[in-house]
Amino acid sequence: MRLRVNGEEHQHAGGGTVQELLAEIGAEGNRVAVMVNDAIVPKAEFGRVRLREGDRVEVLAFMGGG
Amino acid sequence: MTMATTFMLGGVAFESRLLVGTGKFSSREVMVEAIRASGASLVTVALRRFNVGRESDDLLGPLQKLGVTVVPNTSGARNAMEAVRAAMLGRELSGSRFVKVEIHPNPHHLMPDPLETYEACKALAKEGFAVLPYMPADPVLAKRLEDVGCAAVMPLGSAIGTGHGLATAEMLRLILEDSQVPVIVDAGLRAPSEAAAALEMGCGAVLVNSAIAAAGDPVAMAAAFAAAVKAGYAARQAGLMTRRHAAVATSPLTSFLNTGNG
Repeated sequence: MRLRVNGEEHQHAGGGTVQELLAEIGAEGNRVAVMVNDAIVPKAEFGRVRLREGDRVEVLAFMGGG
Repeated sequence: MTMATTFMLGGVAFESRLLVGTGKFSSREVMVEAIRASGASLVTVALRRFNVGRESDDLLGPLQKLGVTVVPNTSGARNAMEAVRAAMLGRELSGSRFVKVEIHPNPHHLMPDPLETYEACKALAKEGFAVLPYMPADPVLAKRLEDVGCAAVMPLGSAIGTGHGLATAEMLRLILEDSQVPVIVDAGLRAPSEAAAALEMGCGAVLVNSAIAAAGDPVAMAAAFAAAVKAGYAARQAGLMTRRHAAVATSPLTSFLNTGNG
């Protein structure tokens, strides 16, 4: 499945849930926040929300900041 | 923790009046040690895109281990709408109600946009956030932000990262006179003495990042800021003497040894 992850083309080979995408890109589910097509996906939904061809996924994490 | 020194913010009691930022540290280890040395209860972080394919450089884990309250900021947001979205994402990740609203569209001076900041704060306070707005040192805006339900106001001492200290001191005094919520000086501090001065003036706390992260020894500087904040707060509680124009002797001016008539 072709996705757009953090602005870049991404070919997803897994089962298509947010959780499976996160595992594929090496992001721990409890360390990132996720938006799909501009809608926030609550942490508890990562294993349930299914992605679709062409979805825009933003995966965000905390970085150093003032 | 005694009630006399407790810092009440957003309905929560915190032990420390020094908030620290996590930017610009040379390594994760130095950052963790500096936060530990600072004794800070509240620590700010930024939200950015996860680096796909790069080894995880997780910030949340170490901060949770330190037992601090994580305060996500909205840096990168150019308007109120983006700031609100950043705050929602930050809350999802931090599990904390606290958010530092910062909207500074111009990278040259990083001055906060007062109109967008106001709109974002209004919306986020309604959503139940404990809102901490980074703001220009403007007494009118401070009052307006208090009125829409901000947990504190965070006027800048000087521009972010400049180290010009309390350049806005006179405006800070005006904000302090009227404010019903804690005033936290955010940005511009360089020396612990400036943090002490802010607390002596009546500020509830200070937020420091560059002054610690860019110091020769960040861990030692964090400890120095912690001591300065405690001293400044203790001085404020003790009550500073009144300034006068004329000198007032500390030693008696009568009964000298050499008066010659005794």
